Amino acid sequence: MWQTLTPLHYWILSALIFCIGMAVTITKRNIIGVLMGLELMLNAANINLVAVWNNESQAVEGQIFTLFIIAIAAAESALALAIAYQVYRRFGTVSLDKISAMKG
Amino acid sequence: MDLLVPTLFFIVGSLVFISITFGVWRLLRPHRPDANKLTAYECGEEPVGSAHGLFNSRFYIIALVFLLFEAELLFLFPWAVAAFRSQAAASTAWATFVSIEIFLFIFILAVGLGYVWRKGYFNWGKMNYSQTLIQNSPIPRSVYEAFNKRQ
Amino acid sequence: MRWLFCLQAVQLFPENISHDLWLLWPEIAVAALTVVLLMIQTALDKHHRQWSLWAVGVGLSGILAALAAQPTGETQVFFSEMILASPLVWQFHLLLVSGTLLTILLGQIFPPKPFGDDSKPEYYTLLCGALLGLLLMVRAQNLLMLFMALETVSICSYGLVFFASGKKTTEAGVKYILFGIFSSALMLYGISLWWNATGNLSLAQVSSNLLPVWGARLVFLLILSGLLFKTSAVPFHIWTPDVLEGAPLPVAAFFSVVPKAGALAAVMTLLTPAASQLQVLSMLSVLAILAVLTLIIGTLAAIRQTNMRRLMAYSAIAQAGFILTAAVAQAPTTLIYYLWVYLALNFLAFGVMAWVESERQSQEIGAFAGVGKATPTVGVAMLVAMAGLIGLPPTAGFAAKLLMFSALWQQWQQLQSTWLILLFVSGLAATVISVYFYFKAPYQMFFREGQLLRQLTILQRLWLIALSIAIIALLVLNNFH
Repeated sequence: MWQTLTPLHYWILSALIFCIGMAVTITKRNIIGVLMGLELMLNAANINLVAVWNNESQAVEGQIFTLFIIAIAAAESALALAIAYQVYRRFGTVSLDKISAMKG
Repeated sequence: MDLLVPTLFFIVGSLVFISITFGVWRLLRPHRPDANKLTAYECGEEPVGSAHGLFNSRFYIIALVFLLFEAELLFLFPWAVAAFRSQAAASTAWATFVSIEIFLFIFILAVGLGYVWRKGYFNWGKMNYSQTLIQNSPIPRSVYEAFNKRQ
Repeated sequence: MRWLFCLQAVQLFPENISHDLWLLWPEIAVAALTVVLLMIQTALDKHHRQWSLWAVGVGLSGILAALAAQPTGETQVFFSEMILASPLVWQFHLLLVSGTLLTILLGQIFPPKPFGDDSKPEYYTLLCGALLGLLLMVRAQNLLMLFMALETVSICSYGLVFFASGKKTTEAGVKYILFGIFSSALMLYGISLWWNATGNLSLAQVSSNLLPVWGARLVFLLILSGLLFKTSAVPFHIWTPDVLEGAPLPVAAFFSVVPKAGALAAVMTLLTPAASQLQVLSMLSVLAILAVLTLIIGTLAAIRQTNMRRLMAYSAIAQAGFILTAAVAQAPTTLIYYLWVYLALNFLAFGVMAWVESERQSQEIGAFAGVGKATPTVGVAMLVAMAGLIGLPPTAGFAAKLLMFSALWQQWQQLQSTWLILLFVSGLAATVISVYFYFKAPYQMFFREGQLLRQLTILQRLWLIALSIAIIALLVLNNFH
């Protein structure tokens, strides 16, 4: 059963996760929710990057890329959460609809 | 199947390690339990209750810094596995280069850590609500003052 | 787990390390400067913080001088085909380091008001970090390298917005980081598709092409999205007005030019494998459509702005359209020239804006009333800047636009694509319409009345005069090829 798992399965999975992440990012109005969606999108790319590796091809750049992405995602979400904290202090809310000090 | 043995080794090894640590603690520590000491350790939070409870926002900054440094460790592992195994590692120049490189990496992380430390983000900042707490406390005020004098 | 042990089988390691490291010296120097700045802030207390200004000033000037002293002659790809060294890369490096140095000078000569003294050293650190990313971005030959460089710029940029205070800044920062992560996630997904299709991350050599044309277009667009975000091109321009309004003024000036240069260089690199592998014409038409949209949206939205910062932001979007045009025309020399002129013009305009903002405490265009009559230097400087941004003759903006349009014309003669003609026409139309909104501020300065409280300092006068002269001189310096 597990022998028949092909890269196609991974591609479908990652496309699904990417679409879910995008939908969450666009529809959520809470900053933390949007960040969760963005993380899903990044991880969809991660799945794609590790999908094609097997013992024969030995192309490890994809795996190395994944490590870098995990680190970058950590840095970005740390920064975004710090900014969310700042937003809460200034506006008293983390809802994107209620944050508007500038016009148009 | 060949992965089963190392996995089993890890499971048994971790169990043994934990039992040894707990055994050593039991031998060394005094045994004076009270209600607070017997609760599960949750870094100062109530361990049982609604998961939607509020956390002190000062945890937040420490968590952010922790997240960053933890994620950076990702790069040490592949380095340790790969750096000295390749054909290129046969050359002294390469070996010197990768060693210097990883120490530079750790040095830069250390500079970041020093910065956060110096800026005081690890300090548990003093709050001003202690006065109201003291007023509502069943313990008389003189006890606090006596305690402060002793310090 | 097992894949890690395969690392040993891969020849990712450079052959000649010391040679490769030597070619990487600008990046190493900037990285060292960044770490030194962080150490200065850690070691010294508040009263000795001006050391970091000296360090960053001396360091960046030294790097600029060393770069100018040794131009790169030959083109070579090094570090296992990760990084490129070429005369073009060298020119981009000069531009990027000068842009960062100008940003620091702008902040010093026209100090913006909400700049806390305590946080200034961090500002220099983040600026140097962004510069490091940009230097790597213009020479990345591998998608991993490109993505890492882009993220270095992004993460530093997100921090840079927060050196002003207030609700506007916070709002701008939130929009910037959310859009930024979104666009880089799109780019990353594109890269992962590319990796699956070709089994290769290198841009210098592409082994196989398993993608159908529409798939190649999709992948190209996805990878492009991260770069378009930095260029503030449609459809990733939405952050620009808010960030340029909310960020501190030198940072706004930085964002409007310097990251664009890096991103455009990367776009040009992306087009190189496209030329061999992915049907260059279809990729160029995708870029051309985006450039047309960017030009139209930037120009039309700029017309109804009453806030000078937002006007300059939409101007930056329209100029991004022009800069993309250079990429469509595949004319790197013209692109470099255009970017130099745009750098000088924008920093002159932002200098004037900084002075008026601190004088009148307002970002509105109405705040410029009477400034030109009271201090002619400021008025003439603004006039030169705006004439240059339109592309009027006595300034180098004219030569830049002329070179751009002629390069595009040549490209059209070669490829005969309708999209290029559309781009040509909308570029001309945008130039004509831009006369209206660019002259709003000079009109206020010369034809409205207003009192002034302060005089220009010597350095401020020097800044305005020097950049105005530079803009005229660049007209003579270009070689009309």
